[in-house]
Amino acid sequence: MNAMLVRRLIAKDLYLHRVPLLLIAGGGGLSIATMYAGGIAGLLGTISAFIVLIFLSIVLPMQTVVSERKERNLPFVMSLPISPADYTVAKVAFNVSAFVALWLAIAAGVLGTFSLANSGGVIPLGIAVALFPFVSFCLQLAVALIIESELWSIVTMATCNVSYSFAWVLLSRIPGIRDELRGAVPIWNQTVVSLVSIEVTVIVAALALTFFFQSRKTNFI
Amino acid sequence: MSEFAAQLAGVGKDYRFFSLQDVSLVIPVGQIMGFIGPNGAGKSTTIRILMGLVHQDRGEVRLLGRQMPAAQALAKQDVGFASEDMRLYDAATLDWHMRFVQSIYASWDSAYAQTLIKRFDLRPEQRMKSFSRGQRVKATLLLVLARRPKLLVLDEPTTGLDPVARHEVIRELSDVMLDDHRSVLFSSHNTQDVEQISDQITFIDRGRIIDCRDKEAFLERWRRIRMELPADLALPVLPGVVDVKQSGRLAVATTNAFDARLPNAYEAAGIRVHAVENMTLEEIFVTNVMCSREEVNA
Repeated sequence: MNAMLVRRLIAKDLYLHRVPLLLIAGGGGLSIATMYAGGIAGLLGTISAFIVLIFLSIVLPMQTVVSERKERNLPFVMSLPISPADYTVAKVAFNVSAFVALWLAIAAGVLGTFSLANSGGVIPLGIAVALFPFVSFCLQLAVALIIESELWSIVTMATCNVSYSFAWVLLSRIPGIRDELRGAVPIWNQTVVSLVSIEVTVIVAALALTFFFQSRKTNFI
Repeated sequence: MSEFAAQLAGVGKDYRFFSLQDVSLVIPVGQIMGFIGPNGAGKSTTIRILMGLVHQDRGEVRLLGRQMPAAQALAKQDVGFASEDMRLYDAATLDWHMRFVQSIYASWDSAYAQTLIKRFDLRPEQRMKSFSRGQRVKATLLLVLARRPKLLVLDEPTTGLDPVARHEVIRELSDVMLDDHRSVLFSSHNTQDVEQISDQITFIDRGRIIDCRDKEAFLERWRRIRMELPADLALPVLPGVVDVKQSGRLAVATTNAFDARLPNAYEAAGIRVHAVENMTLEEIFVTNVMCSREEVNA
């Protein structure tokens, strides 16, 4: 692997996509600030923080992978002295780093606000819910890189977005989660741990499959 | 270093509706190879295989002596590749692109880049999205040329350019070849561009190489002979004649192995030879493709 070139490709993506990333960071900050107001504003802040995470999960793969292919920038990138493996490493590294940095900041801000408001019981569910966009992001990134189809990327994005609503309803009905919500301290019961474990497994599997399928590809343009 | 800048031997690639069949090609160091074919002939597929962007199903490919696609990252260090379907980033300026490419290639020649900016009349501070089609092509070529690659691989670089822009690009490529150690593979369906700068020419059609030789050899060996036949005489079949068109008593024979004895042979058969004409590369190409298709269909 050409580490120097991978770093250059990551820096390139950071430069080219700095504006949407800054806007998302600003949106996340504003949402958290709104949460401090409490009451209805607090609820709106919580929902908007979740929406910002959903935006983040969509914008990164669509801009850095799908759009690069659609705008025919990929031949330029692949004309550089890199291998397809270097390209995959650079894309996954940039996307995951950018997503994790903003996801951590926004999720920590939201959960920290709950904790300060003496609503620590929400934190396990909050983490499980915050992981939804992370799972969605990894699936979208995998589809964008492996299948290379704008249509399938949109289908994956739409499916993930629709599934959020179902997930909310299902989660609120699971007794092991519902019963602990109003507590002052977080309680990590088996239900929440299983849910988070499944989400983390899907994230790891999506990224591993991305590298696996990319390494078997014979056409890159 | 290998005496060949690029070598393809028995290369094949199968798609659902198209196959590249047994493509063998060598580009000697210091030569410009013109790669001509109709749309969909397999030019871009061949070039993508050469660059490691598409992996061949069969055959061997070496780029600057390195095995492809396995060693593509190393090989591409000394190769400048530009294709008709390549776009730079709309949101970034030419200056950003130049700094980006410069950060990757130690061989980047800043002085030459500045010369090209002036020669191509480009503005480095301008974003790519405000560039015209011709300016985009020139900007891409600037990024390729200023890194001083040993091999230039250009896939239809002049497609869609106006005559002035095409002239500027061709002139620049001719200047590049003043360095004896640099080689170019130049694909196009515009035979005029290829004829101007190429040392060697390869024709490809329907996924097969149909002819490959020095440009001068093509121009020397191909001739059109215009004749008038006596009323009762059929045109004899002579070796080297690949195409005959006849309308009444007037006939035109095309040969790909011209010899001064050929018109004499017609004269000896009682046929009056009106003219022996040179052919343009485009005429040679079209005749070659049509003859090849007839052979395949026969």
